[in-house]
This record gives sequence, structure tokens and C-alpha cells, in this order.
Amino acid sequence: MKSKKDIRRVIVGCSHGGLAALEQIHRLDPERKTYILSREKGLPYSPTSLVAFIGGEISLDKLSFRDWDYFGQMNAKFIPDQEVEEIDTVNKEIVCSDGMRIVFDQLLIATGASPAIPPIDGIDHERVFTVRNLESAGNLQKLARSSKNCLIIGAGLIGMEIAAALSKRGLGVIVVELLGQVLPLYFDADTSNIITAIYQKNGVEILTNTKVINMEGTSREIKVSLDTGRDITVDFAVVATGVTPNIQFLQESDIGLGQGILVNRHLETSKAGIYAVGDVAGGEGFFGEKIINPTVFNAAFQGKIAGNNMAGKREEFSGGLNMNIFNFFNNVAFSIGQFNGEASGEKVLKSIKAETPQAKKLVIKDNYLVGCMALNYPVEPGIFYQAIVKKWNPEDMVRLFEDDFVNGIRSTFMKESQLEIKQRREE
Amino acid sequence: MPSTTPYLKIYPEKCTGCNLCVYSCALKHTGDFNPRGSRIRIFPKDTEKKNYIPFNCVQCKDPVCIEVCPTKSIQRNGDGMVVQDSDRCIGCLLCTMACPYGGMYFDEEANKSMLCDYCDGVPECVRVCPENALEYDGVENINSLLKESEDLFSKGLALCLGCSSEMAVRFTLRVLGRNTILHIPPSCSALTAAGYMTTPSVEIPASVGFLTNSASFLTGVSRHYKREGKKINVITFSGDGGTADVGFQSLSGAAERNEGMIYICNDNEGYMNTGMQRSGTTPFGAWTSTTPVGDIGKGKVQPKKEMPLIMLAHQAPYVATATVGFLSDYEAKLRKAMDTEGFAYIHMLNPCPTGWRFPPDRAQEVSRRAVQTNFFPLWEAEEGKVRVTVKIRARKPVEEYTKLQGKYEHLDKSQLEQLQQYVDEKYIQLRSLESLS
Repeated sequence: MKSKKDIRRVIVGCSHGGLAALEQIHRLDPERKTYILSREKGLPYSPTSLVAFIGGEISLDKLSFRDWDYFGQMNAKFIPDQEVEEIDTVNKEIVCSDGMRIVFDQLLIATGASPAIPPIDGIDHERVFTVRNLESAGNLQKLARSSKNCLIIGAGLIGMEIAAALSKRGLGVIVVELLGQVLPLYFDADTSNIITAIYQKNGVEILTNTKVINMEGTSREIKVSLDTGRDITVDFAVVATGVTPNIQFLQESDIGLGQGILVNRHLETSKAGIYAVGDVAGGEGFFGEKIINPTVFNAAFQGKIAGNNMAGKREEFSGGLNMNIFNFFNNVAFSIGQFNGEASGEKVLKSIKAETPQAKKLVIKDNYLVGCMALNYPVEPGIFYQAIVKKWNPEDMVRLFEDDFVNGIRSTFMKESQLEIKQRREE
Repeated sequence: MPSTTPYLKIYPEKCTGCNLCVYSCALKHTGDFNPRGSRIRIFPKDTEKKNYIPFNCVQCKDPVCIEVCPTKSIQRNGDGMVVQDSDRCIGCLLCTMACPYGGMYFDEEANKSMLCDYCDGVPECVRVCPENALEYDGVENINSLLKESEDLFSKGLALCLGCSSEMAVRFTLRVLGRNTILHIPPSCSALTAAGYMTTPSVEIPASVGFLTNSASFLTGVSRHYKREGKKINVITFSGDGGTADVGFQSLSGAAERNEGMIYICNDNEGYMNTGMQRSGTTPFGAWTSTTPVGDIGKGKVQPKKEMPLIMLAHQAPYVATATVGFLSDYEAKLRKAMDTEGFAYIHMLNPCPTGWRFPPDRAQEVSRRAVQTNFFPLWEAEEGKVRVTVKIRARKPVEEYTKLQGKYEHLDKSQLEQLQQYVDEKYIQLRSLESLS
């Protein structure tokens, strides 16, 4: 049995989840060195910033979100450019693609997710892009400079963000979505319609209920055939049809897998000492459902908790919540939790103003807030998250929903969280 | 490291919900009166009773905004304060959603998120609030002053590592400017005027005289320039021995005659540069080389001589106390002293790492703690009217101050109680003086 002193901690994956865990471990156990592996060649960056990079809002040199000094400060050994091939849970070893083996006592898997590629003929053409790593984003950004138009497959958050970014650069953009509305996982149909209208006003063409059946590329352009019979020829196409967790390297191992890596409330996998967070971790959601929650929030929250657990401070994750915030053409929309409440018999407060444009919605179940959604209200979305997770009394926000939505939320917050704020500062 | 993150102290009971802070913040940051551009918001505490709470970033200890920010736009700066670099912000707004306290906002104009920056240490909201419901608690940001003013120190200093007198003299000269004549009797701060080897450390006319007669010396200088019709800042930076002990008669005389000078007492509670002997201002219980600690001796037996009150009794036009931990407070007092016709006395508490026995990086902390425990209250008296300038809402026990210093290491419980009682009595006395005037 090794003493606690000799514990060697290894983190695989160097994005929000892995880094949040690293920081937490360093906070609790600053003496122990942590090893952190990255697939990328250089400093870590966030996949979230890639869209802004493509849109030209941020330059390449500002893309990395930690600097070289950081790992020294965190007492960590940063090992870039390492793809993990295999994890040997018996000997507790990681096998890297170049043959390097790293022994661990505690392991955190935070390898993230990759774009899911739908089975469409011709989708592997060089003019079809995905946005998940710096290389593809760099290529896409270069091509966008010299292109006139493009087509985006999938109207999820990434797809819509790229559409807005490219449209701002002056490209003609067409978005194709299989389902009947844009952002189907993020907003309800009414709000999606408002969002669609804003996009159309900004010159983005949106085709819902449409499927891409074939793609045919040349070296200069690509022809996309739709099931509506229409053929569109564009300079390039972007696939943004969701993500799948990066768990290929675990297929051989005996770590329990489901949709992602199965984890318990401590974010520990079926093997003791091996944890998983972020886009790869499939755990119990806040409402008890089994979900993978590929959001930055989830990665950061889980990373902190996994870091605590690894450093010996046992803590449970409250469960992932669907949380999304979306800034497009200077409009802000966000949704949290079970916002599509109509079907399950909950109390739903809803107001849609297409002309302003504004939308707001609260879903109450058993006198607790379980979901909400808002478009263009100057509210603080973080408060809603607290209200759901901490089960605050939603009386004020319900009563003031119509007249004073913003202050209803704020007064709920003030009533319920006074003490906590004080503690938070002084702790 | 001691926590030095600045933040906004909020007194909700005083807030009337007038929204002046919100509008002035928006105006300062965006040039527009749109409240959505404000970094501070008014939250209703109770919608029926019309109670309000101003609210901004609480500078929490464990900020999630930093974790979720994809571009390192939000970071902790050198002081440990959470700051935002809006050039790096891409407007993803993840931080606004991650912040559990509603402290990050969306800036529509810039299409980015925004965070309270405390206006570089001079918060506009605090300035405009008519009810004083906001108070800035933080390391004073004197950057604006330092940018404009000139550092009158030349290279080379012979002071101890971490000496707060150096900071005090340097800062004083920055505020007073070149139109100043400095006289320093033998004391720690004399090394700033005498300099290192043969080069003086200050770039203004400076002299080092005798320990006993600084005020008399300055009387001559001051009267000379008065006769010539020149307005010159004539100042001395005298040690506590040169002020409270051997230099007292000349000081008392000059104050009584109301001579035009700024007399600053650099109080480090002992003769620190000659071997740390006790002086009149050494406080009760403190170790010095002449109040040793052993089987019989338990540090100084007598309490600290209350020099500022003595000077108040001289009916000097301006009397104030100051310390290096509250520099903007000191700056305001120094400017009042400059404007005073006649005698101005400022008593500065300058913690001494060598003689008080604390690490050289803690002078600021010790200085602040002296004020927070009411051991050294900051006040001023203009024409005899006493006003406490830094009010401490919940004073810390004096032990919080003494435990930072080796010179109090030996204090037993009864001594601490005695010191506490003394500090409380003195503070009550001061507040009664304030209420009387």
C-alpha cells in the first residue's frame, strides 16, 4: 500500500474540465506534482473560442487560455502532443501513441468530445469542415477569407454560432437542419422562430426539415444535394451535427462505458481511482436522468469536484443541468434545465414578444423552478442556475413574471442567498 | 499571503434605490446613461417594502468565471483581484451564466461581458452615492496620482528592507511636488535626505539638522520665505523621539506661535535607527532594547504618549493622524495641510519591520490592522473640529494587531486585556471629542 504521499495524479485532457481539476488539486495539495497530458502540440485552448477565431474576433496568439508559466505555478508537468492509446487498469498505466507509458495512482479522463459526422456520401471531402480543433479551425478561417458563401449542416449551438460569425464576415450562409426548428435542444419552438427571424434579417438562409443526402466536391467548390430536391453549390461546408465523446481508446479496457464513460456522483468510473469529467462523462443529471452534458459549465463544475475528490475532499456532484447561453447578432438567449415543460404537466409561465424581440419562460414543478429560458432580458442567468440547483422558493419570480421579470428574479436571489454571499467572500 | 482583494462594502439599510450609482457607472464606462451598461445593479431585497441592495461582483474566493472563460479574458491580477481584459473577450457570455452571484453582465454596446473594475481604485458609484451606502474597501489605488506626479527620489537608499518610512517620504514628496523644502532631524527618515554615502536621496533642497530643534529651524526657513512673499511647502519628517521627546519643546513653541510649516511625525514607536530604544510613543507592553522582556521585565510599562491630542491642545489649525496603509486618506490630509495657513501637524504611524519584528513584506498589513483594531484611529481636526476619517464598523480585537509583531510576542492575557481596555478608552475619548466639536 502506498502512502498518501506517493500518490501520482495524472490528468488526460487539457481543457476546461482537466484544468479546473488541476487547479482544485493544487489548491488542496500544492506539494504533489500532477501530470497533465494534452493531445495538442501547444498550449491549451478552449474549443469555445474557436468559433470566435473563425469569425476573426480573436487572433491566434490570444487563443491559448493558459500560458507556459501556469503549469509551473500549478506544480504540474505539462506533456503536450500525446495521444492516449490505451489505459491499463490492472498495472495502472497509460500507454501513449509513441509508446510512452505513464504510471498513475489516480487518473482523470477529460478527453472531451469530437464532432459527430453523419453518414452522408462525400462528407469526407476537403472542403467539408468540422470545428473541434485548432487545425481545422485554422483551415476554415483561411478559406473563409477567400470565400463568398458556405453551407452549415446542423442548427445546433455551434452551427448557429458559426453561421453568425461567418455571416458577419460577409459570407452568404445557408443553414440546413434536419428537425423542424433551429436549436432544437436549446430553445422551444416559439423562441427558435424568433431566432430564425433574426438570422434571416441578417441575411442567413435557414432551411429546416431538410436533410442533406449527397455532397460532391471539386477542388474549388462543393455541391450539396438536399432531400427537397434543391442542389446548392457553395465554396465550403461545415458539419456541426453534435458531438460524440472521445472514448475510442477505452473500448479495450474494463472501464464501464455507456454513451460516455459511466461515472457515479463522485465522478468516479467503475474503476476506483479513475475519474472522468466533461464531455466524456456520462453521469446522473440533476433530474435523475442519465445524460452526457457537453457544456463548458459542466466541465468546469465537474472538474472542480473531481479535483476535490482526487485530493481527498469527498464531494458529490449535484448532477448536470442543461445550460446554454447564446449570443448572436447582439441578442442574448439562454436556457437552463427542463425548459420544454409543456408536455410533462408542469406549471409553465411564458411570454413571447416577437416584435421586440423578447421571450421569457419559467417552468415550475412541485413549487420549484426546474427550467427557464429568456431572450433579451437583462437578467443574470447564473441566478437561475442557483435557483434550480438550490431549490429556491420561486414565489417572487412567479408573482412578478409579467410586470417586472428582472426584479422578480433578483429579489428571489437576494432573499435566498444573502448569507452565502458573505461566506463565499470570506471563506 | 494576506488577502488584499478590494471590494465594495455595501450597506443595504442606507440604500434608497435611487439608481444614481447605476447611471453614473454606465456614464463613466460607456458614455451613455443606459443602465444596461452599468457594472453595478440595484437588486430589490423585498419588492413590497421597497428595500434595495446595490450589487456587483463580490470578488468571491473561488471564481467559476475564470474556469469557464475560454480566452483567459478573466483572470486574477497580481493583487488576487478578479479582473477582465475586454480585448480578449469574445462575447461568449459563459461567465455571465457561470457566475452564481449575478456579478457578470452583458455589455450590449461592446457585445462583450463586463465586470466591475472598481474604476482603478476610485469607484464612481462610491463617489456619487448620496446616502453613503457604498464604501470602497481595498488597497488604495494611487496609480492615478502616481502617474501624474513626479518621484523625487534619486537612486540609492540606505533604509532597512521593507521600511514604511521610505514609502511615506516618497509618497509625501509626490504629493507636495518640487516646491518643497525638507528638513529632517537625525532619525530613520534622515537617511532619505542624507542619502547613501554622499548622494542625497531626494531631488529637492533637504537638510539634516539636530535632533532637538527641527521646528525652530523650520521657523526660520518659513519666516524667510514669508518675508520674500513666496509660498513654499516647508516640511519636516521628524522621528517620534525628535517629536515627542527631545524635540518637543521646539515643536510646542512653533505650534503655539502658529508658524507656517507642515510638521510630520514619522512614528515608528522608538529610536529605531540607534538600536531600538524606547521612546515616549512606544506603546504599552512593547518590547524594545531598553524595555526588555525577561523574568521581571514585560515590555514597556507606560502607555503611548498621545502626541496628536497634545498637538490638538496646542490649538494648531490642522492636526491629523495618518498611516501608510491608507494612502489616499493620507493624501487628502496632506493636501489640507498644504492649504493650511499656519501650523499643520500630521502624526504618521509607520510600521518598522526591523524594530517591531515582522517580515519586511507586511508593513502595509500591520499598518492597516492598527487602524482596523482602533489601535491607531485615523482622524483629523480642522480648527479644533475633530472628525474620524476612516470609520471601522466592526473593530477587530487588538490581539489581531499585536499577533502580527514580534515585539508583542510575550504579551500575556492580562497585558492584552489592559491594552485592549486602553485602546477602547482612547477611542471612546476620540469619538466624544468628535461629537463635542
